[in-house]
Amino acid sequence: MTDKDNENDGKSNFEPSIIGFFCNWCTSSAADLAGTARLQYPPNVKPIRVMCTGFIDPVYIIRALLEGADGVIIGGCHPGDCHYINGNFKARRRVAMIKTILKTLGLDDRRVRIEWISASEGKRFADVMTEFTEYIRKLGPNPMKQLKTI
Amino acid sequence: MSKAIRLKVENQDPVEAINSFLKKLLEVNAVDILIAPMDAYDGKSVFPTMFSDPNEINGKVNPLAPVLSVSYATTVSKMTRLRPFSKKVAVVMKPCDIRTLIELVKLKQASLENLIIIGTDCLGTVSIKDFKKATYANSRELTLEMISASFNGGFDENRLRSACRVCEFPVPNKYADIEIQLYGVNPKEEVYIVAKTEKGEKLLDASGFEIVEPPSNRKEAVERLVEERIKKRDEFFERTKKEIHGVEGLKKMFSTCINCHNCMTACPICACKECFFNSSTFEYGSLKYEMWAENRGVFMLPNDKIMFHLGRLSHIATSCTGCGLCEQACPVDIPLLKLFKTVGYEVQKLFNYEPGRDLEEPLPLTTFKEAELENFVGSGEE
Repeated sequence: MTDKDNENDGKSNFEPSIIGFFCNWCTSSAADLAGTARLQYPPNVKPIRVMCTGFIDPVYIIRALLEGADGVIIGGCHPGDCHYINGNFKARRRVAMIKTILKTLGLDDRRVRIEWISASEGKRFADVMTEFTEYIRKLGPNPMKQLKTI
Repeated sequence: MSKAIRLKVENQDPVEAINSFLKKLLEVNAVDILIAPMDAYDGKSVFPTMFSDPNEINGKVNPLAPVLSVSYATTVSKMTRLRPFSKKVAVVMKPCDIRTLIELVKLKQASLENLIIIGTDCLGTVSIKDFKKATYANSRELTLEMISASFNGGFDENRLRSACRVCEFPVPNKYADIEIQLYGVNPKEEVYIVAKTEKGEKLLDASGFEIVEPPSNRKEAVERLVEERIKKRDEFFERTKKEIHGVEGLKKMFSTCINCHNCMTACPICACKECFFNSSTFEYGSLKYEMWAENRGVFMLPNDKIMFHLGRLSHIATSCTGCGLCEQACPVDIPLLKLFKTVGYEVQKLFNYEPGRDLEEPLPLTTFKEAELENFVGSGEE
């Protein structure tokens, strides 16, 4: 709905910069598994390990976007599997809130995504990261990069 | 059914009549301390004031003052955060203040113990800056002008704070123990004080005034007013969404912000003692600034303005009651209410939550359901 002007056809040499917040117990382990299994996924995703997705303050997401990240992906345990019982449920509420805020302000909420990837899903981790990177590549650069102040 | 007191108004001045009632509450020891709005020394502002001596009240209190200089919810929070009142304390509050106080209780920043809430019907308020500039000798002059106008027309609505123009809560909610009612009667002739809770009924009994039936045609009057306001509010949302749209909208909105954090200080919901945005997280050191300057080619200071506002928004959107004190506190007149009320409404709708509605409803970000919000997970396209 928003970044129409910035959408490109993927032919340009735009390399998306994506911040990943991955929970220590599931998605970070899945990333390790993808690595040991020699699965390829794009280097555009810069992973930040957090103990739990429930630890992620919405401000982290806003800050990543304002600082110029083209996308933010949050990876946590599947519902019911949270190491801290319910951190991922709380994260889901916060992500829903931040997406609603972005949408209301006419910003692109598609740049923020939350996914459940368990420790055994190395293949799925690589697939999701590839898919999200290509998705963001199509959306084009984050228009917030043009801000002269943040 | 419920109990009420009818105060006869003389000289078309309901403020005087309400003063006599409040004074009586202290005289008969129905309350030990009354917190109510009183004009500042020069009559150029109005502040919550504590009264224990009934003789101090004599006409000085203006419970209907159309000025909200500071939040009464914050005032109560400051006094009861560490320890609830031990004496019987009554506080006169506007509807927005009451809803905010309920949020603060949920945030564990205030206590309702031994507190009696006297809610007033709200005429709307003018900003402290406008009131200071105007030529009224005191707040009562403005009050009477507004009451007169609400019946005969002639009060320019644009003089109200933007928050009040689109406020859909002109009357107190269920947490008021007693209500000072203006809508549904002619306050130039009579004012009703109506008990809404058991505590309130006891208070009215103790006051020694004659107990009567509450006015009958209030409900319709209030419903009509609320309907009008909701319409205005929805139009306001539409306008705002067009105005604050995308990165350009944000740029325009915050271009004049000086990053003073006054909005945060004035906000009653921003109750953290140590704000995240004042923490060392945002002390970067020279390397970071050099990086910003070099990466972007141009970088205007002070930085972290949009970040502060959007961040604060994400922290309080679920509890924002739309009082507009942020906007009133802004030295460069950024229309913050537009941002907070519009986004707050959408976020609250998402969680089916209304701040201040019910003490039993948990704050949306402290709770969850196992099956909910599935459409926000993944690409949302499955």
